[in-house]
Amino acid sequence: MAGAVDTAPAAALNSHGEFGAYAMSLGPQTFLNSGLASREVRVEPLFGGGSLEGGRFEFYWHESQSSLGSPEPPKGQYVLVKNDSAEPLAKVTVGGYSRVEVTAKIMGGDGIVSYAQADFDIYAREGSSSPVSGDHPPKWPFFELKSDQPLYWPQTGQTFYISLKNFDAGPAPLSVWEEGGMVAVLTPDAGGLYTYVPPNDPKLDQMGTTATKRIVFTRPLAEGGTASLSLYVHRSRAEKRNLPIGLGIFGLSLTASASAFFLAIARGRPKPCP
Amino acid sequence: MPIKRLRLIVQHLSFLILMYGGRIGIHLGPAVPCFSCPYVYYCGGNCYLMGLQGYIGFGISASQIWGFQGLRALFWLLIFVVLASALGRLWCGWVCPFGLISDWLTALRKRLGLTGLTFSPKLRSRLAPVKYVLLAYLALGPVLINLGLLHPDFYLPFCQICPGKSLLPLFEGETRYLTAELTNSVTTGLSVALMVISGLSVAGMFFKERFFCYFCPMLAIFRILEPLSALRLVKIPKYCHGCASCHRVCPMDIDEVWHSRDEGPVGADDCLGCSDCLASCSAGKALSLRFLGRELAASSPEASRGDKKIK
Repeated sequence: MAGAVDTAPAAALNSHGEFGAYAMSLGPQTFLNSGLASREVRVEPLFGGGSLEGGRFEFYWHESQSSLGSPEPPKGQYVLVKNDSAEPLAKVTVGGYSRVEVTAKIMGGDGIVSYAQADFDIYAREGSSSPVSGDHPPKWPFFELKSDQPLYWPQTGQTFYISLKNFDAGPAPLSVWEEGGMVAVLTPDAGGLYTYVPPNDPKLDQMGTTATKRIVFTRPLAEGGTASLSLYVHRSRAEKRNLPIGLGIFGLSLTASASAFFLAIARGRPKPCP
Repeated sequence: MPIKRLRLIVQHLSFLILMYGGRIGIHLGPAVPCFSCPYVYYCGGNCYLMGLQGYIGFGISASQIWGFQGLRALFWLLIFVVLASALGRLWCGWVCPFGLISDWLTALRKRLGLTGLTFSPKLRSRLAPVKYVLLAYLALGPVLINLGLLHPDFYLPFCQICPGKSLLPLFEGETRYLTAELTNSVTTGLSVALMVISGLSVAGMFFKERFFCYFCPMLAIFRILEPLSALRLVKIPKYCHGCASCHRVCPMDIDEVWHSRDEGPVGADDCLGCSDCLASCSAGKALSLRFLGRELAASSPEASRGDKKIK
């Protein structure tokens, strides 16, 4: 990780000189008897950096559109899940197909405040959308994630646009992390918008279509902490689809089968009398 | 109205509803007993074979089989059994959109004056197990995936190789299921298999009436549910002339109706319930279609000339 830390913005280091960013990890989705679905989210140090020891955690969640890129407006309000807890995890429960954002404030044992946000999908069978009552969150730093491609779920090859809300500092690069370390540094355009297209991942291609990988975007805060967005992406559904090859095989099969049937019919015809 | 014309009207109406019903808010749920393909974005109901694969997969993986999910699966299974028992194989002969496409291709061949294939009883009996093998594949695939014995990309194993998936969406201009998916060896293998099966099916349906029906797992399910079926084709042999017109017009080349010497329900593994035999039979009352014992239609000299009215 040392190499990655060296290339990370300096302000992401905590008071102990560690890379102090946090990310969110998702537990498996579970179905409740009511038909609603639930998922656990957990704050964890990003790739071993920082510490959760002595920290306090506050979680909000928000049910957004049914899918990323959908033109519909966000459905629910921000709802407080957990206030000032020593436990770095929370559970969100929704009905229907939902895209969910969870945001956590991490008050580190060293007094540095960081934020972690996750964006993921939950597929419940039944039930209504999220509760509309609840406290609105304070003005926490927030990553607004958008895409102009209304795909079934976030995936590699999709273009994501990120804009920063409630960040004190001006434009600054956004670091992009995957399992192996930092993979990119994004700079904003004139409008403050960051654009990222997760490249195709051969490892993800070998797994099932429901498998995901985490991409974490981090941004240092002026006060010393870090804000992060954990995005879970599936493998691309369209990138490896090849219509000419498919049509070619279909055409070959059609021609070969038709010829075989034609020959079978011709062979089965009664022979003319001599 | 002559049975054949009534059937044609029902088939085309069903096609419109099941292929485009979603556009006007019609959705008959996930338990439709025919190829109403959910890969057609605005379909009017989902083929139960897809739901069945999903429910089987869930049943093994979840600890909540007696919870909401399990009861939901049971509910749709009951709906399917009721629908399948009420109309029986009429779903295949009168409703199935894929069956209608097959009929269109056959009509085109006849219009072109080309001879079609006829399957002998021997060939039919050889092909008969294939649909049960596909049904077993459909049922066991999700179990094996959940046990980690099959790659997750085999998800919905039958749908991955069903020609309905590649061909039916073409009717709404969707070509994405005619692609080779080269993501990994499993998706490549399955998509190539789908293209090969689709090509074979189109050629087969052109040269042989209802070619794909010989392999359709839905027909295997109808066979299993046969004892529950409310709709029966009944033969009274004493009225039969033995002319074999029922055999000649049968799209599945079934000869059991012609050969049967027992009074009562008659049919075969591959019967589609299309009623072509009944419509063509000129022997009064030799064949009749009965719902819970009540006669809906019967063969007659007028019927064979296309004048018979449905009661």
